Amino acid sequence: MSIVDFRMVTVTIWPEVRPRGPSQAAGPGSSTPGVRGPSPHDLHIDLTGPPAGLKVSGDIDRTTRRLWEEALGGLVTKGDDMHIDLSGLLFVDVRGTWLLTEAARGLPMGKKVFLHHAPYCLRSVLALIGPDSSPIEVET
Amino acid sequence: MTTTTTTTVDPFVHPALFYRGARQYLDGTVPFIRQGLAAGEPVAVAVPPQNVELLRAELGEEASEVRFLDMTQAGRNPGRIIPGVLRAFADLHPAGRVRIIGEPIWAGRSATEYPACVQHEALINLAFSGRAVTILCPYDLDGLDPSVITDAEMTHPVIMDGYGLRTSRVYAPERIIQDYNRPLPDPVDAAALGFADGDLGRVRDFVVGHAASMGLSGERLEDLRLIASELAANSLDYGGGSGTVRIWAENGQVVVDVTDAGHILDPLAGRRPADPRQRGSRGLLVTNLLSDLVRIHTNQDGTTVRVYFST
Repeated sequence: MSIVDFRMVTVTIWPEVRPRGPSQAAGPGSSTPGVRGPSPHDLHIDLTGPPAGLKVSGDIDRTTRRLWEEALGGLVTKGDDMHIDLSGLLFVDVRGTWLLTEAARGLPMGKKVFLHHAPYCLRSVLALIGPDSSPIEVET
Repeated sequence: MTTTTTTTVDPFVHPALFYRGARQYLDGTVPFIRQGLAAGEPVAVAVPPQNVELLRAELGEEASEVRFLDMTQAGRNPGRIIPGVLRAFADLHPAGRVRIIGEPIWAGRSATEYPACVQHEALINLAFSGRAVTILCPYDLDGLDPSVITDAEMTHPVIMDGYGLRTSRVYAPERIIQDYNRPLPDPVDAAALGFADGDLGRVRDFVVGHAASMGLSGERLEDLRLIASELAANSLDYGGGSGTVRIWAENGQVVVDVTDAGHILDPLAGRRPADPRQRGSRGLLVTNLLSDLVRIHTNQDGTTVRVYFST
């Protein structure tokens, strides 16, 4: 079941306790309570819309990447413009930004990813790894 | 029966220009530029600013046809020059020959920078083998140590000087790459943090907290946060699953290094522009593009990647 089957479900990854193996982020039950409690480096993704989009807060890195990839993949399958609110994004690594470009390339011709409130850490890497190849609009 | 032997000549040409004074500099570089322009070849010049001005003045109106870059900025980290300067220009012009003047080693390069500079010069030969590119590298005989000139003869197959053009008899770029893969000196006073799976957020907080207290701020602090995370993630993915990050202040710079049990076998790791469509690690490439200097020591016992950020 894809993450896009849920609406406004907050999915949280607690890096310290995240089990290895397939993603646990496919439903509300994935927010496994951890023994160390929430970390400031958690990733939270809310599904928003219409229009279809995501509201992202926290950190996207090697530990939380799978949730981000699955959330993007779920929206790509809808085949429509994607609106991503990044006002709460505190950190994204290089692979996390690349996944965004890859998602944008997966959209049907003419459709775009619209980034709202993209922080410096995302904009800078986007500029370095080749934004021209992806239909991404960065709201300034 | 007739046997035909075909000799394949590498279309990549990498001469060093050994010069004394402005006149020899211009005599070696300006005809190179003009021949390129006359042949319709794209020409870029990435040299220190005083030589940019020298060439602009000599070329006059022709200077507008040349792409000029201040190498002390664009190439302050030698690891950035291949992906961010040379390939960035050459890849824009995939058809036909491209000419570049690249001067990555100038009087004033520090002893800390030099090993990365000379390794860069050696790696150019690997990076451009098979490409129709000519890269002319000027060396200032008056300003540089004689040992630098000796190294340049090992990193350039062809030498141009006041006596003309000759083949280097000591060309051996692989030996330079190996010889300058040296242990990095231990810092006097560093803060250190061991990390393993799940600790990347802690690594970022650790580095950013110390770097901010050392005077790094704004976007450069964010760049260092990213690089620390990328290097630590590389340790988790390729370096045995754990590592140690250290941070200290040195000569007005914030220095961070990450040590792990990995061994980097690809000498061009982090120096190839990434195809946007290819998955694969870009962490070391972004580290090279954003840092003021990157030094690497790697062997079968482990790897240290050290980055320098000016405050």
